[in-house]
Amino acid sequence: MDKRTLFMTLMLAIAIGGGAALLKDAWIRRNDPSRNQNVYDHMGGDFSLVHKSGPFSLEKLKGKPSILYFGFTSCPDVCPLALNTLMGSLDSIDPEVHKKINKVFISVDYKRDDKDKVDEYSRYFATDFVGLTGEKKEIERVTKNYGVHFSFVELKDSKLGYTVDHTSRFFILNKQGKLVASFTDVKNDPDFKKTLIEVL
Amino acid sequence: MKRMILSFGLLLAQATFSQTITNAWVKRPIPGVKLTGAYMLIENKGSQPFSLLKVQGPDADFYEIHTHEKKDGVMKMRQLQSLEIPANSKVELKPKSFHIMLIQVKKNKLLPETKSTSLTLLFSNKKEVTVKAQVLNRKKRED
Repeated sequence: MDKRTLFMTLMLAIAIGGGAALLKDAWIRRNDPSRNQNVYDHMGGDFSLVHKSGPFSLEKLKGKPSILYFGFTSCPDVCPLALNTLMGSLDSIDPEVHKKINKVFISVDYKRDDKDKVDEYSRYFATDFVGLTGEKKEIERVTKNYGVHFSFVELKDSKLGYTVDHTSRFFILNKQGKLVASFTDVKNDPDFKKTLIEVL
Repeated sequence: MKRMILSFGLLLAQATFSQTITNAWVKRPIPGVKLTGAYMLIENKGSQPFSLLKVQGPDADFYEIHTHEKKDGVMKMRQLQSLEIPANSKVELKPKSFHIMLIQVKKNKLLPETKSTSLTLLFSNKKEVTVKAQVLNRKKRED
């Protein structure tokens, strides 16, 4: 191998390596919504769910920013901890700030959670917390649109019968109801507060 | 002599399976929800592992041993048939991890004014231990 061929081979190797690294980076960004703003342009959107007071669509949230969380009321600690942490985090910005934000809990457990149950559960965390549920088809549609995974899992020997595996993530909507960001950690991620201040 | 061997054997058995349970507490259920969790620290000071097999108490129809795992951002809760406490180690039952799940919490139990309750734990070494557990509110607006 002469010097020229060696040089060309080396350059080619570097180019391939660099290209692979760039591709990997792009792949990571594409698969983590929190790292890619543009991904939200194709996520979120309207829904027709049910509140204790009646039908509830995205329209009712417009005018204030919103935080959405998907879970189920029989969730023993993940959902309550997440919602408590959210309230604590909002209070740490300003004890009054939560009044300027719609806080929404959407139950994906359409088999067990009716609108009254979800309402009572949600209002435990804040009196103006909005609890929503809906029919199977609509829950499937809204979760798909917001990139939320949920699945019913049979617990063979448990008196619970089944549990619901679900994504634990908070979705931030601006005053126009557009999804702008999502977070798994609303306590320690500095971008959460930054995003909230931006949408307020 | 026989008696001596027997008592020595008993003493040995006790030393091998020495367990202590501390910080037992039950979360006060959210209004309208008939489920909640119980937590504690189980320590095995002995040289043999043992397992928690069953839990009973006065507040719910059923007590089950559960765990949580997080995979790809998805939270999964699963029932365990038993929970092993390895030799010379501690296992903590805590939120988002191992816990005792109280199912069908009874009426007039774990009320806002209830300060404490009890949990009876059955271990694989045939030991049954009843502990006092504090009934605590979920830390509102805190993690």
